[in-house]
Amino acid sequence: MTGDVAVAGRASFRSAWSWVRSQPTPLVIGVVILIPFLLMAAFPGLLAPHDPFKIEAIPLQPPSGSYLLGTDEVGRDLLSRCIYAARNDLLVSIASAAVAFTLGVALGLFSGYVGRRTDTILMRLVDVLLSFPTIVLALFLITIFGRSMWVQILAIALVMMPSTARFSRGEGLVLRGRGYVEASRISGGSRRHILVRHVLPNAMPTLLVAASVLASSAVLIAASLSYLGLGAQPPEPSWGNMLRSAYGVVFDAPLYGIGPGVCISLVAGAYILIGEGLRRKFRTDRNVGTLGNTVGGV
Amino acid sequence: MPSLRKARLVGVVAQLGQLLAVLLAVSLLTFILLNALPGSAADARIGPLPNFSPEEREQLLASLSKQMGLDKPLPIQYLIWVKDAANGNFGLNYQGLEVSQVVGDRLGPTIELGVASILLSTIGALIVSLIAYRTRWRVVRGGIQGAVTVLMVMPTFWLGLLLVIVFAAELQWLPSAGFTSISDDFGENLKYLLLPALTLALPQLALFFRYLNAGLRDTSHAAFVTASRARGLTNRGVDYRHVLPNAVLPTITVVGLVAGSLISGLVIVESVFSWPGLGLLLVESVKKKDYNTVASIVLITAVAYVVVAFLVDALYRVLDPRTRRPT
Repeated sequence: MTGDVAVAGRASFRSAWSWVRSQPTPLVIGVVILIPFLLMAAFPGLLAPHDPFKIEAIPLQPPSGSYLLGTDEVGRDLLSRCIYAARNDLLVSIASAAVAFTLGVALGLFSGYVGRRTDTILMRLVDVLLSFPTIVLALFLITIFGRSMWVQILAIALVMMPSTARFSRGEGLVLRGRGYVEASRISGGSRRHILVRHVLPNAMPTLLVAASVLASSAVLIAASLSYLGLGAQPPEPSWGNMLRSAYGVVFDAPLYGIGPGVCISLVAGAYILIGEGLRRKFRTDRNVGTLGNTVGGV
Repeated sequence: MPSLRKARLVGVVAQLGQLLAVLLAVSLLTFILLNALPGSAADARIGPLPNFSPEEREQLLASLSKQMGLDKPLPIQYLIWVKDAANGNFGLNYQGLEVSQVVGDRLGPTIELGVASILLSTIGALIVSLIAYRTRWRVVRGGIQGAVTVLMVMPTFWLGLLLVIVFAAELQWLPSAGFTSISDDFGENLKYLLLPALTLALPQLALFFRYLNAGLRDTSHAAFVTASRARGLTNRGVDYRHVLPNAVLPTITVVGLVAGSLISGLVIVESVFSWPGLGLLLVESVKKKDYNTVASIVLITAVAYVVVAFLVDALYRVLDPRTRRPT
C-alpha cells in the first residue's frame, strides 16, 4: 500500500519534473530565483533570524555566524532587514507594473485597433508623456502629491505607462488586420467585444513579455526612489534606503551594501529571465490557429 | 529637381511644427501639474510669517497674488508663465533667489558629467562590441555577454557603491565623492569626475552594446558584405569599411535617446557622488518642496529631450540617405 503511494508519488514527481524540463530554461531559472523573494515578502517573520527593528548587537559588524550579512550602523541584523524589505519592494514594483500594464495596454490596443484620428491624438499625448524623463516625472509627481506608498506606486506606473501604450498600440495595429478580427466584425461583433475577446487574448503572449520587462524596471525605479530617500521611510527597511545607509559607512563596512544590492539585481534579473523565457515559449506557438494565418488573410 | 527640394522643405517645416506642438503640450502639462497642488504659489512664497496678523497676511497675499498675476484666469497665467520661461525667467525659489540663477549654476557640472559619460560609453561600446564580433574565442564573447547582462540589471547606485568600495575604499586611488570646478583645477576635477562618469557610463555601455552587437550580426549577413568578400577584401577591410558603418546606424538613435534622457541617471549618480549638478538640485528641491525649481527642471529636461530627439532624427536623415526620400 505504502509502496503504491510511493510509486505514484515518484511518478507524479517525475512527470512534474519533465514538465519543468520542457519549459524554456530562462523561465525556469527566473521563477526559481523569484520564489524565495515571494516567500520573503509573504512570511518575513518566519524567515528572518532576528528582529529587523531591534538594536541588538555591535554596529557595523562584518558577516559572521550569527549575523550572516553583518549588522547595520545602529546594530540591527542586515539579513533580517533585507528579508523584511522584500515585501515593500515587491509590492511597489508589482503593483506599479500592474497599473502601468493595465492602463497602457487598454490605451494602446484601443488606439491601435481604432486607428485614424483617435490613434493620432492618443499617440501624440503619449509622445508628450514620453518626453518627460522617467525619474524626473516621478519626482515631480511625488513633490506634488506627497510621499505615501500609493503615490509612489501611481507615480512609477504613470512614468512607465506611455511606453507600454506605444508597444501595445503596435500589437493592436497588427491584429486589426487579422482574419478572425475581420470575421468577428462581419458577424456583427461590437468594438468592445472584438477588443476584449479577440485582440486582447491574441496580443497577450507578446504583452506578457513586455510586462516582465516592465516589472523589472519598476523594481529599479522603486529602489532608486527609496535610495533618494523618497520611498519607504526609515526605520522601515527597503533595499534602496539600506544602500543609501551603506554609502555613509562605506569606509568602515564595505560589505554593508552587498546584500540589498544583490537582492535588487536578482529580482530585476529574474523578471527579465521570465520575460525571455515567455518569449521563447510563445515564439513557437505564436500565430497558430489564427484564421488570418490559416485562410491566408480573409 | 526643384519639386524634390520643395517636398523636403515642406517636410522640414512640418517637423518643426510638430516639435513646437510637443513643446507647447509639455509646458502645458507641467503647468497643469504645478497648479494641481494645494495652496497658491503666493502662499508658498510668503511662508508662515509668524509676526503677521491674519488680516495683514491676507492683504500681503492679495497684493503679491496681483503682482505675480495670480488673480488672472488660469489660461492667462499659463501664457505669462510660458512667456517668462521662454525668456529664462522661472520666478523665485523658496529662499527668494532667482530660479534661473540657481539652475544656471548647476548646468555646467551636469553637462560636463553627461558628456563625459556619453563619450566613455559610446567609445567603450564600440571597442567592446568590435572585440565580441571579431574574436575567435567563444569564451571572450560569452564573458562580454554575461558582463553586459549583469550591468543591465544592476541599479546605478549599487554599481556606484561597488566602484566606490573598490577604487575609493580599498585601492584609495580616487575620491569617493565631491567636486572641484574645472576652472579651478583641471586635474582635481578629472579625479572627481572619473567615478561618477564611469558609474553613469557602464549601464549605457551595456545598452549600446546590445544594439551594436545586434547591428553587427544582422549586417554581417547582408548581401553587400558577401559581395565585398567575393571582391577579395580582407576580413578587416570588410568589418571596418562595410559592416561597421551600417551596423552603427540604429545605435545612433539609441545614443540620442539616452543622451536626451540622461537626467534620469544623473539624478541618481549626482546624489551618490555629491556632484553639484541639476540632478542633485532636483532631489534637494523635491525634499524641500520647492515647486518652482522642480517645475523649471522638469520643463528644462523635457524640452531638452524633445529637442535632442528632433536633432537625432535630423542627423539620421543626413547619415542615412535611404530615409531622405520625400514621402
